[in-house]
Order: sequence, then structure tokens, then C-alpha cells
Amino acid sequence: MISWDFALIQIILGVLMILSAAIAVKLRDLLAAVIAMAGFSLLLSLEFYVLQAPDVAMAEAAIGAGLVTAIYALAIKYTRRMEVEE
Amino acid sequence: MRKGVAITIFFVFLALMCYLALQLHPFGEPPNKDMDQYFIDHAQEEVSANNVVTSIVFDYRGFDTLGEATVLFTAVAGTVAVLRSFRFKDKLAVKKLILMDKDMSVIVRTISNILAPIILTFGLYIILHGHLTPGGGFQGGAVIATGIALLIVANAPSKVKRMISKDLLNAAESLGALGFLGMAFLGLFSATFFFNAIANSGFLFGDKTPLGINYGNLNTGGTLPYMNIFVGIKVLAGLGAIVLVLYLLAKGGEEE
Amino acid sequence: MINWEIVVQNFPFLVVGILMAIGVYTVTMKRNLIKIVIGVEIIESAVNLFLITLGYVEGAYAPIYTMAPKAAENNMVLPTPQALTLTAIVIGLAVTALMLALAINIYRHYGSLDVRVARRLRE
Repeated sequence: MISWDFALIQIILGVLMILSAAIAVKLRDLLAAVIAMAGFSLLLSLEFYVLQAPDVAMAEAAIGAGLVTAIYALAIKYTRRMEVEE
Repeated sequence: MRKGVAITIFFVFLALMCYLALQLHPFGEPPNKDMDQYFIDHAQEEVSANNVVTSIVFDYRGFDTLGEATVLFTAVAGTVAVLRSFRFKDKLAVKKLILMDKDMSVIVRTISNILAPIILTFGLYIILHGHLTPGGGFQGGAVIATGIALLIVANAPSKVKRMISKDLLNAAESLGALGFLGMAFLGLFSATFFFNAIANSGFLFGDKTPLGINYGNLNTGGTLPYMNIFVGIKVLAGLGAIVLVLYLLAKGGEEE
Repeated sequence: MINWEIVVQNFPFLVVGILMAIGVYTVTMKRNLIKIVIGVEIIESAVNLFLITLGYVEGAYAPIYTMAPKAAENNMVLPTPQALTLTAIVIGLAVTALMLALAINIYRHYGSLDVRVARRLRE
């Protein structure tokens, strides 16, 4: 059985991750959705660190929260920013 | 009606996932640990590296890293090839993009000029110490590519086209891939492909590692530091090329 | 009916399941191309988290020998899933970059980012 404070950290991080992913799907301004995905990636990197995997946490922080957000922002610049419902 | 069916299928899928998640083994007690126990026990005497994860990525399962390098190379080549001859059709988009051809403000440019060497040094530190502390080729290459992306985004597209040449990035990526393959072929003389032939010998990076918990000696590692450096060069060139070709789209593609 | 002790014990697996469901909903039910790419990224992050939580040993330390604490002598988490996850993260980045390049090309050709517009095989 795992200890109580470890379970508390897992519950808090898990709920925050689910919330930020749901917000990223729900928003209609695409640039705001990409920023929510960067926040999701940061929380995922923190979860990897709590699960005693520092290599993977470093890779996820550098790639997920740095480069993928930059590539999304450049792709949105050349297309539309708001999501239109037809 | 179609939307109702879709919502029902989504809830059934969610319930199935949650039910299956509770049927797995209890979190924190994995059932079979034999292969990992071998890796943890023998990584310091066979590979002479302190970081067990990096020794698995580059020595025990080196073929997977070869496949990953190939996938990264193919993705970069595909992105550059898809965006090659690019012209916007409507006049309004072309006019808006020509107006975008200016630098960012002085504050942003000064801070990026100060931050870029610091990020470069940090990335090189992560690459070089990959066999001692958490890090390695992929993480350090991604950090340096973030620094290059910062430099690219802070300046105007015409200036970026003059300063960073695409041929240098292509040559660096090919050099990284060929160097990684060359280090893998070194083991072919004694035992097999991807055998760590430099570990525990007298060459550069060839010392023995004391078993158990120790302070870490930079001179250890065998072929691991060489592979880290080559993979780091390859990753930084590839990811830098992706950001560069996406940023320079406004000038009408690359003439090459 | 629900055993609450198992829910608290296995909570990371539950998070993986819910994230997978959110990702599959986004890929199948949304109409904007960039939202679909965001959905694919959520599915990939869920799978990476699943790989890492498979290898966790309770009360153990990270698999690195340099200046580790004294209690980490024979007490380390499994290192093989971490090596597999490292590969999966880099491949996820490569797939996302290629998908976004294709999305920009579709916008140039058809004038809109709606999935229902680009539907015939040859236009």
C-alpha cells in the first residue's frame, strides 16, 4: 500500500492534468488552446519527476513545453486563429 | 441522432477504459523484474557508466535508438519537402506576410542575445555528462534547438536568411547520423554490432567505474560519450531545420 | 459497489484511461485540423505516462548511481520503460511537426481548415 502523502500528490497532479487537457479541447481560440497544451506538458513533466524518472522529465520538458509549442504557434500564424463552426 | 450515438459510444469507451485501468496489477508492485534486475546489477561493470537508463538506450538496446534516429531524419526530410515550393493564393495573405518582415523590439533582441549563449552552454553540459547524471544526446540536443529557435524568432526573416545557412544544418545532421553509425560499427571487430569496445580499455573515456554508489568520473563510459555527442549534433540540426523552414515560409519557400 | 481503496491505489492508471478517452473524442468529433492534431498529442502523452507508471516500484529511487542516497543500493525503479518512453517522446515530436506541415499545405490548397472540405481523392 502506498503512503498517504504520495497518493495525495498523485491525485492533485492527475486532476490538474485532466482539467488542463479538457480546457485545451474546449477552447475555440486556437492560440489559447496551444498555451493550455504547454501547461499540460509542464504538469506531465512534473508527474514524471515524482515517479522517479528524471531523464524522461527532462526530455518532456525540453521537447513538449518548448519546441512543440513553438511549432504550433508558427503553424497557426499561417492559417486561421479562431475555430469557425460551419 | 448521429450526435447522440457518438456521445453514447464515447461514454461506453470511457467506462471500458476505467474498468480496465482498475484490473491491472496494483500500482507500485510490478510482477516481473528479472531483466531489469540484470541491467541494474551489471551496467557498471560492462558499460562502465553510472546512468543505467542511458546505458540501456545506447548499449543494451542500441537498435531501437538507430530506428529512432532514422524516424527523426525522415520526419525532417518530409517536412522540408512538403513545404518546398510554397505560394499563397490570395493577395491579402501575401500583403499581410510582407508587412510582417520586421524585427522584434530592442528589449526582446537584447535579452535573446544574452540568453542564447547561456542556453548553448547548458545544453552542451547536458550532452557531455550523459553517462553520469540524467541527460544524454536527445535531451541536450532539444535544449540547444530551443536556444536556436529563440534566436530565429527574435529577428526578421530576411536577416535570418542571411545569418543561418541551411547547408550547414544539413551537413551537421548527416555528420551526426554517420558518426553514430560509425561508433556502432566499431564493435564489429571484436564481438557484435553495437558492442561497447572502448569500455574498460585504456583509450579516451575508457576507465573502469567503481561498483556501487560513487561520485562519478568523467573519463568513463566507453562509446557512450561519443554516441551522445553525435546524436546531440543530429537532433539539434534536425529540429533547428524544422523551425527554420517553418519560419522562412513567408518569403516564398526556399530556393535551392 | 466500487472498492474505493483500489481507486486510490491505482489512480495513475485511471488518469491514463480518462486522458485516452479525451484524446479519442477530440480526434473523432472535432472538425478543425489543428484541434485534431492537439488530440493526437493528448493520446501520445497518455501512452507515455502509462509506460512510466508500469515501471514504478514503491519506495524506490531513480536508477542512477552518481551520488545516490544510501538507501538506494538495491532499491531502484525499473529502467527499461524509461528508455522506451525516451524514444516515444522524440517520435511524437517528429509526427506532430509533419502533421502540421501537411495542415498548412491543405489550408493553402483549399482555403479552409475544415475536415469535411478536403474529402475527395482528386480535386
